[in-house]
Order: sequence, then structure tokens, then C-alpha cells
Amino acid sequence: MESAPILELTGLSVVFRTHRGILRGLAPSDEVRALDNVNFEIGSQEVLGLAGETGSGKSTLARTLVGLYSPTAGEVRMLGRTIDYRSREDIRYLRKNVGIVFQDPVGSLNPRLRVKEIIAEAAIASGMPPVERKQRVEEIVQLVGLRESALDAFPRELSGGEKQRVSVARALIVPKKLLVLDEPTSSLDVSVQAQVLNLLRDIRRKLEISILFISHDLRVLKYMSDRVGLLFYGKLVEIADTRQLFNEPRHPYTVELVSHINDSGSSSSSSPVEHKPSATGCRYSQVCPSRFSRCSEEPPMYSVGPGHYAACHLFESEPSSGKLSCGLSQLSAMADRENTSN
Amino acid sequence: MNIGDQARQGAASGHVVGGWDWPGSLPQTGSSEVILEVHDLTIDFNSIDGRLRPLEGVSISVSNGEIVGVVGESGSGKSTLSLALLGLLDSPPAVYTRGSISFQGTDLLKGSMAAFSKVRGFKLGMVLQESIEALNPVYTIGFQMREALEVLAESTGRPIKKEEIESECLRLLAELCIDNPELVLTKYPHELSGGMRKRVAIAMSVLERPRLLILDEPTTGLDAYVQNRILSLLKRMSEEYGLAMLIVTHDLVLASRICDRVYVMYAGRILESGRASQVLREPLHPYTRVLVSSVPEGFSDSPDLPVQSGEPADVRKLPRGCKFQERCPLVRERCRMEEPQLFLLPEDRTSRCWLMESGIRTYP
Ligand SMILES: Nc1ncnc2c1ncn2[C@@H]1O[C@H](COP(=O)(O)OP(=O)(O)OP(=O)(O)O)[C@@H](O)[C@H]1O
Ligand SMILES: Nc1ncnc2c1ncn2[C@@H]1O[C@H](COP(=O)(O)OP(=O)(O)O)[C@@H](O)[C@H]1O
Ligand code: SF4
Ligand code: SF4
Ligand SMILES: [Mg+2]
Ligand SMILES: [Mg+2]
Repeated sequence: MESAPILELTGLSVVFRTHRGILRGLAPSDEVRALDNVNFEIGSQEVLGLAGETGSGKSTLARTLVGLYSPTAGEVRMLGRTIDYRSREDIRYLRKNVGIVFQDPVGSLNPRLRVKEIIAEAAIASGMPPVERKQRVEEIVQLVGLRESALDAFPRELSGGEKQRVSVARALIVPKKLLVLDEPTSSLDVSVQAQVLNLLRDIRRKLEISILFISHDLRVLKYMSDRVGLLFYGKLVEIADTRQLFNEPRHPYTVELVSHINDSGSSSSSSPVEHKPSATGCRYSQVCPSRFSRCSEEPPMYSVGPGHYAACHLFESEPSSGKLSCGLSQLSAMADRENTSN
Repeated sequence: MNIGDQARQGAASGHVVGGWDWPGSLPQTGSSEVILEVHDLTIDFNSIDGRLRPLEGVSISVSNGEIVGVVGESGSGKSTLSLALLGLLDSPPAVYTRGSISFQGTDLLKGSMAAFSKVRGFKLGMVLQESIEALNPVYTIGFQMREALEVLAESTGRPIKKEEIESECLRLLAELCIDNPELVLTKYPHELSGGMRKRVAIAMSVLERPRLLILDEPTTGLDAYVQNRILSLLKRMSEEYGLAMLIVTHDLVLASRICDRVYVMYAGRILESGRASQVLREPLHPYTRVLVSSVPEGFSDSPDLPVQSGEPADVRKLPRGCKFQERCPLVRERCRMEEPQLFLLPEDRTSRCWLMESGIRTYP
């Protein structure tokens, strides 16, 4: 990547403390580490895919990137600016640059507004003058391929695919640097999903925009992303160029997931035990077929190839640029750049 | 990848379902006896806004131990079909206009709806699309599971010990990738996430050891790992206990991985059927081709998906002639005039398209 990254996450952690009902008020509160020390960056005009099973923290990450949740620890840098989540100014800066399409297309559109009002809302909030706004709505509606008659409709009158087009239009009405898509097609039929995927690829070609594409469907991620990262219970366990990740997965968890979608794969019948994260050491160690003594310690991110990192002790002795601890993302990012520039 | 390949391979193998004892144990081998035979099923919804026909002349069959898929986009009538087979459609507006549903040799549509309630939940299990509806909101999951097992023990006259009940509940939940099953047993349905509820609903549906299980979108919205787990479990149950399944889904990849045969549905009609591996590998009907080519394949530099615009059919406004004509790349004059019948083709395949007319013979 020649230019500076659009987004950099360093040691990002988001912890939820849920206080159980009044009767249990005296009991200690539960703590959920939705994200735990996550490091990665998204380059200019890059599509980064993020996979992970339910509850792995994908939506938490998406929501943190638009300031709906605040990091418990770590840093979010947007276009080089470190975001102070207590500063309104900074949150506004974040939202100005990041557009988001939420997981639930039905619940995220205001049922009382007409489609054109939904789309224009964000533009009004940003203070865009009416004349420009009108023109921009026309442009964006054309871009997302929404039929003219849909503009006067209410969300409930639209099909699932149309609702997602409206969500994309709303996210992009004010030009953004980063578009976060949280499971944008998981509620759609295959043929409609195909249309929306084509649309997103088209947007990517037409606009200078980076995309964080979140999905639990590896087939979709493979088809859409330049790089893919995998979350397991809040931990980023592997990240690499898409081809690399699918052709040579390294982390045992990735190996298992990828084997399910590969054709030849005589579906490695790895013992399908419960995917319960281990409380100490490597989170995957409860189910990992390659577990060994070291695994009672938490593994750092090891570099296992150019731009390819895996958080697993198996790669401790990899001959490449050596190990890079999770906290040292700057270093790893530098190594990344060196690796890809030559 | 090719989804046809996956169809032949079947889902990855998984655990055996507990150490269970399936009552009325089945003839283990070659039990290809038909358990469900639906003939010409036609349903109407009559309301003040007019009449709507969500199902038209649907004929399907399921044999013991067979996993049959009904695949189609939203609004194609899949849920209406599963509810109709269970006798659970709200009436009004629903009316059984024509056809028969024969389950283990008995026509459930002859006589009163009581025929359904005799088999539903026991011999005919179900996992509805809205899985929360199957769970009672005012009781904990544990209470509901225990109750189901007690009812079963009573009806089969085989007492189960308390500890056995507990351990079966836990084992079954664990089988379905449920984290911390002890905790889940103490929860109320609304305290669980959607995916979790679905899994609990599946656990509940097999507790009673049915002979045929109807599953409406069993894994929709679940992640790859859990999906895999559920598929393995279902496959295993079908192999080991001869449990027959009818899986209704919009997910082609899922169907290709688990089903023996599939029916492709559109606008309330069956448009194509045959062995899953064949239908999904070499689809004959233009609609099935659209579905198959919509599954993303390859990396980000592979070409865009070859799909035309067009939305799934709306049974409120169907054209005369072939119902797929508006989205069909091969449409011709005749298609707009006359609706094709389901042509019977070699290798037990069928296709409702005029292009197949020169096939071997037509459906009776
Ligand atoms: N507002 C919240 N309060 C408390 N816990 C939360 C909150 N939001 C998320 N969590 C918890 O954080 C974890 C991660 O949730 P998240 O929604 O990010 O998962 P996800 O990867 O998006 O899952 P899915 O695939 O189901 O959408 C879960 O354990 C969830 O229960
Ligand atoms: N109770 C009902 N009254 C009127 N129309 C209905 C009812 N239930 C379903 N429909 C209509 O019947 C058609 C088929 O619906 P459904 O069986 O739910 O499709 P699928 O499950 O394939 O998505 C749709 O057009 C739907 O709107
Ligand atoms: S660190 Fe150990 S337990 Fe964790 S993935 Fe690697 S080998 Fe498996
Ligand atoms: S009958 Fe005609 S319109 Fe219908 S699927 Fe066949 S070719 Fe297409
Ligand atoms: Mg989510
Ligand atoms: Mg349905």
C-alpha cells in the first residue's frame, strides 16, 4: 500500500459489563470481552473482510467504528487522527468519515419516513445545502440502482434487496472514506444477494472508498475482499491476503473453517466439539487439534508470511520477520508495508 | 468450488446423537418406503382483499431416511408448504383447495383437522421458521425440555429417570454447539439470541423422536461453524435412525450439502426436481440456473455475478403463462401464452419449462 492507512486499530478492546437484575445486584457483574487487543489497519481503497462466528465481536467492532461503543482500551486512528471517544468533536469526525450499513435492514430504517427522507436525513444532519442535497440524492439513487418509484415508498413497501440499497444510499449520501458493512446480505435471497454484491463491487470501482466487509459467510468474503481477518471470541486470530488465507490458512481455526468451503476438501472431520473459548491461554485451546504445552499461554501474533499473521504458538519459530507481539501493531504494520512494497 | 460436488460428499460427519434409543426402531436398511406423499396440493388464502394462491398443484414425496429439500426464494411459498403439511395454516384465510397429504398411508386431509394433531409433534416433528413461536415464553428452556421428555416417557410407557432427563437435555444442547448448556436450561426463550433459539428449537423437535421432521430454514442466520454442526447432526440422525426430513430453505449451498433430493419452488409451483447433486450441478430449468449462478464463487478479481435484475415472484401478480417469464433469459412467445406442465425427464428428474418438451415424456 503506497498511501497511509485510512484506519488503524491498536490494541483495541471493548468490554461490556452487564449487571444482572436487581435481585442479583450483589453478585459481581459479568464481563464480556467482546473485543480483546485487536490490531489491524485498512488501506486506502482496500476491502478488508472480517469473519467470525456469532458473538465473536464483529458488530461490536462495526459499532465502535461509528462511535456507538467506546473502546475500553486501545486506540482507533482515523486518517492519522487518534480518536478521543470522550470528545464530541472527534466522534463527529469519525462519523463524517465512516458510513455504516447495519446488520438488520428492517430495524435500521425508520418506518415512518419515506425512502427519500431516509436518504436525505444524513445529508441534512451534515448541513449540506438543499440544492446540493437534491442533486446528491439523485446521484446516489442512481448509483445504488434504486427504482424512481421507490423514493416515495415507506420501508415496509420495499423488498429486502431494495431496503439494503436504501441503507447503502443513506450511508454514502455524504461522501465517506470508509464504508462499514455489517452482514449486508445475510438476510437476502441468493439472487438478490448477487445483485447487492455486484452493486457493492461497482461502488468500490466508482468511488474512492475503503470497505470493512463483515460477514460470517466465507464464500461471500472471499468473493469481495482483498484481505480477510478472522475473529474468534474477540481475538483476531489470523489476517492475510484473501488468496493466501484461503489457499494456505495457518491458524488451526482458520484451517477448520476454510476446509468447509473448499471443494476438494474431504471435509476434515475434525472433532466437532463445542467451540467454547478457553478462559486462559490460547482461546482456541479447548478445541484445537494441534494443542500443545505452550498453549496455556496466550499466543502473540506471529508473522507467517508477507502480510500474513497468525496468533498461534505453532508459528513461533517461523523464519520470516520474526514474532511481533500483539501490542506492537505499529511494528507489524511497518513490516507489512516493507513486505508488500518489494 | 462446485456445489454439486458438495452434494455428493454430504455434510461433514459429526457426533452421534447421544446414546439414544429411538422408539419403534426402524428397519435399518433399504427402508425406502414412502413416508410422506403430497399430491396436487393447492392452497388459497381468501381474504377481503381478494384471493391469493400461494401453492398450486404441489406434489412431493419423502421416503424413510431420506433428506429432501425444497429450495426457493422468499415468497415462493416454502413456509406456506411446511405449515400446510403440519395443518398449522391459519384458517381463515387459508383453504385447502385441492390435493392430498398422505402421511404413513393416512390422508391427513380426509376428515377433520384432528388427523394432523394426532401425528404433529410426535411422529411429525417440526422446526418452524419463527422458532420462537415453538417455545413457550413463560417457561424456562429446561422446564420445556424436561416436560417434553416426560410426556414422551408416558406415551411410550418407558419411564426415564430424573438424572437421565437432565443428562439428555444437556447432551443434546451440547451437540448443537450450545455453550454452557446448564445455563441455557435456566433461561427463558427471550433471553437467548436468535441463533440460540433456533438450536434450542431443533433440540426440542428431536426430543420426541419423530419419524419425519419438517424444518423451515433451519440454519438461516447462523454462522458457518454452527451451521455445519447442525447439518452434521441432522445428517447423522437421518442415517442412524432412518429419520426422514423435509428441509425448506432458500440456501442452495445448504441444500446441496445435506439433501438427497431437491424440489425447486417458485411462485408456489415446483419448477424442477431430481437428485440434489444433479439438479444443482446441471440445472435444467432456467430458474434453477439463475439460482446456482448467483452463489458467489472465486476471489475479488473474478467477474461479477451473472444475475439479471428482477425480484422474486409475487404471487399477488403473476403473469399468464410461465410464471418465470419476466426473469427468464430464454423466454419465447409461447411462454407468455401457456404455462408449461412439469415434464418428466430421464433419471427421475422433472422440469416445468417448454424447452423440455422434447424430453422423454410428459408428466401425467
Ligand atoms: N450492548 C451490549 N451489552 C452487553 N453485551 C454486548 C453488547 N453488545 C454486544 N455484546 C456482547 O458482545 C459479544 C459480541 O457481540 P457482537 O454483537 O459484536 O457479535 P457478532 O460477531 O456481531 O455476532 P453476530 O454474528 O451474531 O452478529 C457477545 O457476547 C454479545 O453478547
Ligand atoms: N396468512 C397469510 N395471508 C395472506 N398471504 C399470506 C399469508 N402467509 C403467507 N402469505 C403470502 O403467501 C406467499 C408465500 O409466502 P411464504 O410461504 O411465507 O413464502 P416463503 O416461506 O417461501 O418465503 C407470500 O406472497 C406471502 O405474502
Ligand atoms: S496456540 Fe495452541 S491451542 Fe492455540 S491455535 Fe495454536 S496450537 Fe492451537
Ligand atoms: S417456459 Fe419459457 S419463460 Fe418459462 S422458464 Fe422455460 S423458457 Fe423460460
Ligand atoms: Mg453482528
Ligand atoms: Mg419462509
